[in-house]
Amino acid sequence: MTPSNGPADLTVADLDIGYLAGDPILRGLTLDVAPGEVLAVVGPNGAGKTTLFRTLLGVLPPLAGEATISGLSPAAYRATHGVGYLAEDTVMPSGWSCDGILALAVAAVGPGADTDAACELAGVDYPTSRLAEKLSKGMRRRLGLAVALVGRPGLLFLDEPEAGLDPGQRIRLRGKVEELAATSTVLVASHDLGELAVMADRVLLIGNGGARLVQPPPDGFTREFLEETFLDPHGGSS
Amino acid sequence: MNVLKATFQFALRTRWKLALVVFLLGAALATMARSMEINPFLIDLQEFMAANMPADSASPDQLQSFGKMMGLLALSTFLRTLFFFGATLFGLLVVGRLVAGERTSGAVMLWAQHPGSLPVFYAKRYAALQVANLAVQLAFGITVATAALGPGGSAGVALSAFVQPVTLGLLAAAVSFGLSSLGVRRNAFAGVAYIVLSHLMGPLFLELEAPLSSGSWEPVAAVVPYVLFPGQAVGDFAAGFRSGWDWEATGLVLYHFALWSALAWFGLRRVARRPLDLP
Repeated sequence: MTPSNGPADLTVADLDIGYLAGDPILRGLTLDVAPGEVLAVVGPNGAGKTTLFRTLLGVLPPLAGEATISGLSPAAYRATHGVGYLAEDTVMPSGWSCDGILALAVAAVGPGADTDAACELAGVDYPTSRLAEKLSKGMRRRLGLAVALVGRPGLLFLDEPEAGLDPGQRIRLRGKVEELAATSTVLVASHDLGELAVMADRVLLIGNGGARLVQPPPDGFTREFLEETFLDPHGGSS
Repeated sequence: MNVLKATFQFALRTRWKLALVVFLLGAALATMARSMEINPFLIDLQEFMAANMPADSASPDQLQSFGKMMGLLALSTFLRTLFFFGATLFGLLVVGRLVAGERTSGAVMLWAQHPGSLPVFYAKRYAALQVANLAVQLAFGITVATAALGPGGSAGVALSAFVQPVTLGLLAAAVSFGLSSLGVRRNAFAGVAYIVLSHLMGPLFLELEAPLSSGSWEPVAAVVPYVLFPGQAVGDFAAGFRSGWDWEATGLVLYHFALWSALAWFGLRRVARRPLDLP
């Protein structure tokens, strides 16, 4: 698969995110993500992983601060280049076959869409004439990933991509993320810390309204490390 | 597979039962009209009424025949009402929850992540749905045109009968899509309410037209046809195919298509700025 945009770079400065003004879920996030980097976002439920992705996708305005993707606002980047987004809960419109959903994705992408390569990369190896709503959760997520990859995005958000996948598929997914990093910058939120420790270049730990950037621990995410991190996400050096 | 084919499959997969029921209603109307000679009876009845013949001057045989035919006429009218309601409902339902439902469920992000224009994307899907809708409405139209072509019918009457459900169905889909684009999640239900209320209120305003037009309500009376669903205007527009062309009705029908298309475009531009509308 040839990238249409090239991997994007991401710059975040003093970003406050959330749904209610004056009540941010995450405050003062400052971050630079290099092109082609795989950044894991780790935190407890409700820490703001999905909210961060929605803000960086440009569908949720930040409460304060600024984020730019290759020099553009997130909404402007999405509108001009497109991004790949695998949502935590891949909702498919009812009544549509997988073929139909892929056809709609191609219409949304415009010229340059490539469903065959996207399906191969996402592991869509089942008949696409099936109704999307009848698929198992894992199959639906693979279809969602194919839809995200149809436009050959330079920036890819994966929100808990391993959810619903069996162990074999999880291992394959790890390989796919490494493959995707050749053409895209990848932000991946997950609770599967073992997988993240292997695939990520850096880890953004978020919780208690704050964030901290760390290198993946060489001996994996130990219980002590996580307890220390989630109790005091501001602690240590960024 | 392209958008048109995918949308066509979707429309038929989700709405084929309603389409079948409406088609069967039309087929029943056609069968009645052809086998029971309802059209000649209607002509006789019109002549009977035009002659203003007192009922007691009719012969007992004539009255018995009229009584029997009036029952069939009532049944035919009932089936016609159901048929037109069904054709309109198909137009409303074929749109599904295209925009508002996808925004609130999060499915909109399947498309909003891509660089193409979101309003254009939904407009393409709407156009494809209207093509599917048109194909089905044409089938509906053929059934009532066949009914109109029965004994006593004419090509002009058949064409008029053919055009009416097709126009109603297309306009209903335009209303449904407009409502959904504006964020109404139950767009088909809201469309039914709008059309039924328009149907009930239209005659009311027509009756009040004279007193309204003479007083300070004149501007209100003038605006009513541009706000209510133009069911009557669609009938007059279709009637133009068998008698004199009604330019006013034609203009009003086109205006409503343009109005709902403009409202939909306005709504879609809003969706593009903020695709997700999570509860």
